[in-house]
Amino acid sequence: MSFIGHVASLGSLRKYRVLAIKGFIQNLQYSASHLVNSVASAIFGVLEVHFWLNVTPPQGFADYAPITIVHYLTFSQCIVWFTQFGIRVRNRVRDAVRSGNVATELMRPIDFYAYHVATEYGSLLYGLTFRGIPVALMLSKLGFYIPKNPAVWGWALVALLIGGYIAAAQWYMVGLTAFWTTEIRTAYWVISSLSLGLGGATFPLEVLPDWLYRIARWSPFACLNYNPARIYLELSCPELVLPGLAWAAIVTVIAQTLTRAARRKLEVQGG
Amino acid sequence: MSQGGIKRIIGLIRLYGLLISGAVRAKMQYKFDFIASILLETVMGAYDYMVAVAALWRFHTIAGWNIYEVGLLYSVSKIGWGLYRAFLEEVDRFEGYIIRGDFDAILTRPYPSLFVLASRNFAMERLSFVIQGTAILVISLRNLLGLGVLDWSGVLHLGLAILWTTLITCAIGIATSAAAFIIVRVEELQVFTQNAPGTATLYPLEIYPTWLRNMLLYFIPLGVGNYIPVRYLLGKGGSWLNLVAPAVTAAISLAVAVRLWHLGEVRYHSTGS
Repeated sequence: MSFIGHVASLGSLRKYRVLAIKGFIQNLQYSASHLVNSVASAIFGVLEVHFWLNVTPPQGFADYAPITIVHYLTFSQCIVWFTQFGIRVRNRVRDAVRSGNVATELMRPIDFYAYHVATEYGSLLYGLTFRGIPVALMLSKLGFYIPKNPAVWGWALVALLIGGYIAAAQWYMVGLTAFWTTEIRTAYWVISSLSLGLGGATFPLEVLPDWLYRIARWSPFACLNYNPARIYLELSCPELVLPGLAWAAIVTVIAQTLTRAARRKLEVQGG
Repeated sequence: MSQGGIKRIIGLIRLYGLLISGAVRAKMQYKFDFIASILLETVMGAYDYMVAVAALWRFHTIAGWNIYEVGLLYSVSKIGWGLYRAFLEEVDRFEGYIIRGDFDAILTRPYPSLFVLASRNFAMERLSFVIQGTAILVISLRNLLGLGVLDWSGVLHLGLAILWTTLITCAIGIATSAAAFIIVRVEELQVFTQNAPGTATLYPLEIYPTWLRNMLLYFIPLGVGNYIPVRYLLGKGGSWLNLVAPAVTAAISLAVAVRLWHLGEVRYHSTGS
């Protein structure tokens, strides 16, 4: 059965939903600690807002007035734990490779990629609710945009959910490099810098030089923070979810291909 | 200081050198991987500076500071952070010692626990921050010296600012880790006391609201290490006292941090069986 057929079957859907819920629940035991971390995250939001308010001219730039910049940054800071800081999957795959447990994981009658991404997605959803909402409340004093049109909420949520999926897939692929290199630090640095810089996590992409902006806005990284923020702030039409859908399909194919290559490459040592 | 005291210090320095050279040799077993990852982290880790470059490329100045002037703040702060992490990596990771009960073994050594922790590791990989900071410092100095904004005596004072920033960063690191004696886990606290202030002081403090500026100058005084002397050296305000304040702050911060560490040590009780 193809990957899509496998994942789409009713039984599999139930399995992956359970995995996502488990990924969500696993985090609940650390919610107090995460709340403290959310305060720190809000402080980073405050730093970003003040930095950009100081550099932005009074008339703004592109289609951002100074207050729009504030709205962009506060929204973006709320979703970083969903689209930027997924860490469990890459470490889980790396540790499984290092310990040799990956051999058992690959033997399970469940798609290796979907298993890890579903669990990670649950963790990310936890990040969105238990970290994102407190950050939104804390940053609301600086300015937090609330769209009046319910459809905007819906489209922004769709864009966000797609962004979260792309994030989970990208971190999974970072973890997958452990099959070749054991150490995943290099891949992590490259991907995290690209997703922060080209994803619009800490500034709107229009700030970049024009040539880089053109590359960034059509890259998969723009689907992480930039596209959902543009839709949420009503700066772009809902059609902006389409690049996200296309990239979600592309990263799925790439991740599946890499998983097959990793399976062939697998070499477990030990007695 | 008595002759015995001097002998003991020389002995400690020799011992430190011996232990650290062993740790470095062990890391250099995988030379290529090690050097490649340092170079990559040097480039990729400059994200905050790249953000400033992108912003100032488009908007030219931030609170009257151009990219080269911000570069001085950035480099002093990053080099200080890199040196702290290189020399006191195990202090930074101290919560692990408390959680695993490994601090018992540290206490059995006939040397101060801070010294034993420091001599367990020299995190050469953290030198990526130092390389990155130095590169940005050189680029910034070339421009500022060329324009006559800064002279060579200013460069000397910048060197001192790096020293004071390193010591203040060490003090904040030690004080934060000392909290592990009481609350065990300090990872989240480190974000408050080290990561967030570290990021904030990469840029001129006048962009922040008063409460935040005061916090970075009086409570977690990282801003005293870089912003206060650099502002004066660039002729943006202050007096010669701006060059003295970091030294005084470093001395007070270190004394307070070591005192907090000792207070924590007294309260320590093992988690072992």
